[in-house]
Amino acid sequence: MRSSFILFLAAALLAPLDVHAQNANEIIRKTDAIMAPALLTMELVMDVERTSGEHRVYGMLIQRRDENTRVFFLAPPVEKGRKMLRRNDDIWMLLPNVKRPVRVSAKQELMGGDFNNSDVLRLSLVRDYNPKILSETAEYWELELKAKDRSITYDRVIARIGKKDYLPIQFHYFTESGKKVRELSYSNVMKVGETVIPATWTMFNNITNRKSVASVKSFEPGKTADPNDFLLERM
Amino acid sequence: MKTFLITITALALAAPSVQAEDYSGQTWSWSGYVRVEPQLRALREGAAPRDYQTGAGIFEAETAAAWNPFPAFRLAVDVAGILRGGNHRELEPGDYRLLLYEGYVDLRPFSGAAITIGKRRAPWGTGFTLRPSDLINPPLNAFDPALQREGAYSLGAGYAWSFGGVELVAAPGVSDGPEGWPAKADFSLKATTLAARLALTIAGADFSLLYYLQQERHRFAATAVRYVLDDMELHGEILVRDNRPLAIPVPAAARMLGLDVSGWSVQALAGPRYSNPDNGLEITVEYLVDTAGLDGDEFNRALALIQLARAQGQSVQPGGGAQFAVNSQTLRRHYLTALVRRAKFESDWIPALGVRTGLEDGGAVLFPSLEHRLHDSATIAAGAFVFLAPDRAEFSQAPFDAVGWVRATVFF
Repeated sequence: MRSSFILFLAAALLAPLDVHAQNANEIIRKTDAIMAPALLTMELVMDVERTSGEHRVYGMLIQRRDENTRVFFLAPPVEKGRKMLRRNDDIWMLLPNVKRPVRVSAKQELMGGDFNNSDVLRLSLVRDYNPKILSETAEYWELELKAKDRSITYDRVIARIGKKDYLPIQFHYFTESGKKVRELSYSNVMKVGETVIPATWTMFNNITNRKSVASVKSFEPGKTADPNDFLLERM
Repeated sequence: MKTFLITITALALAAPSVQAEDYSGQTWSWSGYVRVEPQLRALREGAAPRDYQTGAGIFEAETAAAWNPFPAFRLAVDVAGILRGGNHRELEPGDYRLLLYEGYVDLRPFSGAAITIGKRRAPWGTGFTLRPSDLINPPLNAFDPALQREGAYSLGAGYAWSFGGVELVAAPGVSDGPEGWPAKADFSLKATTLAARLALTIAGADFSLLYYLQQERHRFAATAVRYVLDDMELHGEILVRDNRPLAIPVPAAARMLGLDVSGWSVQALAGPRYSNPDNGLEITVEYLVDTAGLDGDEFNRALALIQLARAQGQSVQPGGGAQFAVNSQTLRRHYLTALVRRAKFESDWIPALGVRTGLEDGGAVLFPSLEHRLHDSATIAAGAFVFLAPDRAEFSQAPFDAVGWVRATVFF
């Protein structure tokens, strides 16, 4: 009788936490479904502000198929033909004149900008993080996302996600030591193709005080390349 | 000559109109470059014939285009016009060429399946400086892999799934190109190679199992492996064959040297590649062992033959030199190559240093370079090949003591 009571009490205490965790998972699952669908083709233009104040603009075509993502560089001319491929946890880069893929770190800055490779070639929030709701307002949830393992680029993320549409609003990225290293702001919510998404992503680098701005030019869920195109040898 | 200039001018002029077709939708994609590379050579006394001039230059105009009218069809072409010459004579017809680097059709009859017909560069193997397991594509230039842009003619069919794929390929033989020009294809049935490849990813490691079959009885089996551990990539490949390919590809010379070409031979390459994500430093080290290479006695006999040929006025340039290219074919059995490069995107400067050493005789080739990005469309680079070797070492047989180069490239 006594042990049943204790079990009941424990279940009653833990139940709300469990429901909360499920909600958090559900929230980021819905965000993933919009921002990172399993099949996707999108075109991105990334404006990188350099330490000198000069800007570099890169055009990229990004295609995703389940656990694999690939990027084609469309501009500037000196980078045209450069490709990147994410297969599961590994990211590879291929230069058109060498045609031998080289492995690059997920944590490496993409083209010297403020987005890391994994920010652009991310698979999904659900796959990488354990979420927990920290607080909520009428407009958004504030979630804490804790990396599932040490291979994930950011150890902890504080994410604001809109209640109305499950779209991301702002992400704060932290290292394992608790230091904030990046802030990603999503803005300019509009219909791109058939999907309403934030079309401007601004990544502020707290270490260098620079920022990079990515603009989504096209967004086509359900459209992607053949499985053959995600093989290293077919890059 | 006039035809050549008209052709490369037409290539450069035609390209912008191709780009304008439908660039954003990726139905068309297009890229290209124009490259000028003057060279200055320090000739090795007694080793270099007169036509290995102290100054030389290469001009190249390249353009690549791909057409994807629908997902199941892709047509790709990569062509270049190359002009090269020396400072001591007039240009001759053999100094310029129009080369097809790639030209193929890729068909996707159903999801996962691919059929490729034409000339394509799709390297097999995992090595950076040499790929012994790849018998389909023309060999890499270890000193600068970007110099070898030419693909192999082939007819291939493959099927891919989430953790690997299988591929069958028929490819014509490739013979050495003269004077540093790319290799020539031999379409005879006798020279055709049939190859099968099974690629698998198991426990995070990429494995390729390869089997080659040629008309003349010779069979080859190879495997290539790549494994990533944090910032380190470990790779290796091994080729086993039922004959001993000649390090000196001249049967008469082999007979004179008394080389035994029977029995099995093994070529293996292995090494790590370290990449630091914070400072862009890349270090690659590769060790090559080739049991088909010449041992000490055989090499000494070969040296005597080389010196005799040179005394008779013949151009014999093993160990790193053709008239217009510094080649990287190996003659002996053990080599260590190290490449250090700092490619931090934040900087517009990319310094690099490569060293290849012949472990049996202590000779080395250094190949430092520095590349600078001038603009969104232009780079300039400078570098050198410096041959450091004792008198009777392999690298001392190169026609040069050193070659310096400057390369300016404008991209479209």
